[in-house]
Amino acid sequence: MTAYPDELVVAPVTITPTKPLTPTHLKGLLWTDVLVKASRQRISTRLVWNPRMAHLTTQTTAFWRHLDVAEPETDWSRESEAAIGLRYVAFHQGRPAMTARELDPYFERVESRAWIHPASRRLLELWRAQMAHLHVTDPGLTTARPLASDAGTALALLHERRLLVDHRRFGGPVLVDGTRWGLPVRQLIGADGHANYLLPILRELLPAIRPGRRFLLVHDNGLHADYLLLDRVLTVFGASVARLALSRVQVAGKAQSSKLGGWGGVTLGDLAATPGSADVAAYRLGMRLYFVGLLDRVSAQDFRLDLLRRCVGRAARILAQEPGEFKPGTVPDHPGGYADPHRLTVSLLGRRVRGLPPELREIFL
Amino acid sequence: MTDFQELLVAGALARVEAVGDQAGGGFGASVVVEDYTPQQLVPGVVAFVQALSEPDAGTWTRAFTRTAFLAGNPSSLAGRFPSALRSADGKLAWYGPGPDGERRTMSRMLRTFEGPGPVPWCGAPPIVVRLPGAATGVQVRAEIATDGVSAAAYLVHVHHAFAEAALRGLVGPGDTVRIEHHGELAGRRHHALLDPMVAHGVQPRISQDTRDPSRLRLYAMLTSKCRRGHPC
Repeated sequence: MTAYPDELVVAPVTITPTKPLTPTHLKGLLWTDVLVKASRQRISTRLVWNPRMAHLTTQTTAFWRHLDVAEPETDWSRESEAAIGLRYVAFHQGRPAMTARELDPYFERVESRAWIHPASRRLLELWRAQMAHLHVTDPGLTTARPLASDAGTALALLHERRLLVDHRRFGGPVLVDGTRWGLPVRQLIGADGHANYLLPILRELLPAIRPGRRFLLVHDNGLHADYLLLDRVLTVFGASVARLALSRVQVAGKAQSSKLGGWGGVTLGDLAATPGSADVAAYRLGMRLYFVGLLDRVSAQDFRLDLLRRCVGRAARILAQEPGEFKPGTVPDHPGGYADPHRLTVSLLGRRVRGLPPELREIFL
Repeated sequence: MTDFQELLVAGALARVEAVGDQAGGGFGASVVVEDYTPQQLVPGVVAFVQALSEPDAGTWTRAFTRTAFLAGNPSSLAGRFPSALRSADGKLAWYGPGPDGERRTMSRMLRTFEGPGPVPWCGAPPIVVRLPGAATGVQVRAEIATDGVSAAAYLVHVHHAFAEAALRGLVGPGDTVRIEHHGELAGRRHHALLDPMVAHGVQPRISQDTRDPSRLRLYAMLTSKCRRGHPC
């Protein structure tokens, strides 16, 4: 019997709006969507997504700066997501020289007024439509809400617990010290004064710690070491933390970062536009059957369009059935204190095709 | 080459010659730095040297007191990696000296100390530090160059200068050390102190000038009367 917390707060890695949504992103979004909707049937469940977590990073601001320098005249509201994404890939290949001070105004604009570069705003607009079509709840792609605390407050809290090695007085970096747990020190703020993606996460989550509330950190398993460290740090402050690490979805034998490209033809936009006879309900269910059911947590499989098509076909057959009966225990518990999205989805892939009860339609459609 | 450059080259060569041809490769010490000040660093390195066994002191000398400076928190490492010595405030810890392999696991968990900025006490009045131990009455004067010297480089230079001076018996427990900071150490006084005739009583720290790698620079100069019991 799983011990559920009073409240579940699901915090997935935010996706930087610099490229189209790829199969790896889709796996994360759909696992999270099914998990949140299914867990909600048991306990109060909330999704934490603050776009500033993705925007207050050198990765994003450097790309924005590059676009402003290279193409000051481009009207981004008319660009396709592939065209913007290809510029991102080219940017990483070229790695134009940029000083930290050139990025300062970008960090400041994000921090003070939730500014988003028009190219990224364009991507977010496209993502929102694609996600709505897939019926993935908008986690707050363009919400302007500030992070729950400022950098100084979060650093002061970490400092109090002696979790930092702070060499700013020597012009050096700030490191998170996880060596007491056998984890290596990890940079939080560079010698250039810019924080990496870990600080916004801590700024958002540290003030949200409450008795009875559990954080579920959903992340790409390539970030395992960072998330283990976040887990330990949050726990020091009394948080209850679970982690869900998902493997990347390989495309043509490669499980690489989207900044390296290789996603042509398999973005969410491409998949949604794949011709076929399925209606939108079968598309929604089929995408979940594939990305959450067929691709398990650690799957090293290549993305397979043929299997996705079969899942959509299966979904159409499921949806043609009369609604089935919802039995207690249909939604399996994960020992981490949330509904297990994978086992739940796999239950729809049994030999017999059964109709979906209304409780599951709410989750999958 | 100026005369002063010639003296620096001679000084640097003398250091190499003193070690002979049996240099100790793959042998060194590590210092874990949470924070540092001269008041904590200087007594720490002198006490660290004082506690060394004779063979370790010899091998470390032949390794030119090779030391890695790592950013970390000595308190959180203490359980896994017992240090040889901690500074009085606990924010510096010394490990080794020994073969590098002995400290590899710890080194992998830490990062090299990064301090590209100037030291915060640059331009402050001289700092007087009384080293723990029964008072000897010995006064050691340490002059440190600070123009264009980063906090990371300062740490390296001061540590080498005091480690080598302590290994030679020029500074020890109970001494009083007066630390002065100057932009440059290239005046007449330093010229005179680099004379081989007075080398027995001084500890220079000569290294490549980072502003002009074709030149050497005097980064630190320790002067002290010879200590009793330590032939000069």
